[in-house]
Amino acid sequence: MSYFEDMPIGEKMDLGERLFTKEEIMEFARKYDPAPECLKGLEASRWQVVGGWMNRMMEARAENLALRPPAENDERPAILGPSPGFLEMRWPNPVRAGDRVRYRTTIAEKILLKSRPQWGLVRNRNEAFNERGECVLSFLGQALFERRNPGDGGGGGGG
Amino acid sequence: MTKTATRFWEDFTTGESDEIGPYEITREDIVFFASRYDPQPFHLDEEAAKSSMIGRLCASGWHVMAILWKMTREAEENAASPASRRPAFTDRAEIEECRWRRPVFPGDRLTVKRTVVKRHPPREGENVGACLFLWEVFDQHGEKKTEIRISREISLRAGAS
Repeated sequence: MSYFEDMPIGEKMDLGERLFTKEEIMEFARKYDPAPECLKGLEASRWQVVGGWMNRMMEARAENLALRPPAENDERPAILGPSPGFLEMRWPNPVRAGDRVRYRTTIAEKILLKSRPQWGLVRNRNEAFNERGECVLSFLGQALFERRNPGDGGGGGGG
Repeated sequence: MTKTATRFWEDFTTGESDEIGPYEITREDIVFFASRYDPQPFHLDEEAAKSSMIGRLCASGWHVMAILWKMTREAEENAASPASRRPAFTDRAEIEECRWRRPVFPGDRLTVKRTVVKRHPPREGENVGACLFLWEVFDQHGEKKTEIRISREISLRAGAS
């Protein structure tokens, strides 16, 4: 798991894809989104599309951790902090049953927190596309990441 | 008897508010959602959550969003009486900002206060307008859990057939 210092602004990551089946769309709709088109299994709830992003993000992090080269020192993996929320969420097109949705994330901004010197705030631009290349989700995510060197100016330090 | 069972964009006024809920979130549901979509230890397991920053099992923020959406959908479906006419929302919504201020725990009973912050007039030739709403989510102790600024598109009376 990366520390705050390990994340270069502009870095893109492909998070892989998720298939939206009619059955899963209906299951989610019954629990969380009783819109007729969702209950019929035609269109996925917008929050299922967002949930798909979170699921892919967690998978990508787990894979990253597994692929991590053997550490030269005994550094433990960084702790992932909570998210304070998100910004600018849009769903330009619906996700339909049978759609394969591909997710990607780009590191957009890094902010040091005076109130919490051991953490840094990372903003990432998240986007999802269907097989026709249409955008189905876009938002700016935020998460706290542990800093390796709470004392320094952030960004470059660590090594 | 009123025949107007729908609230169009023209019927919304800046500053008006309503309240929906309460909705009780269960441990089972927290764990179910997390296992499918947000499998972090502090959403899945009470023991594992003890060593997390929050220190106890809490709901995924995405789960809370899905619940708020369900609450607002159900409020729209149930708004059948003339006093609470059904809003003419379209499917378009955008969230400007969401702040998860406090974690949501098993057994929390959530209510949402929805306030019209701003009305966006229709663009030339369009038969929809929009309203920016502030959703403030409180628990049973009156503590504010979440704050959301969400813009929703609403049909115009003028455009309705």
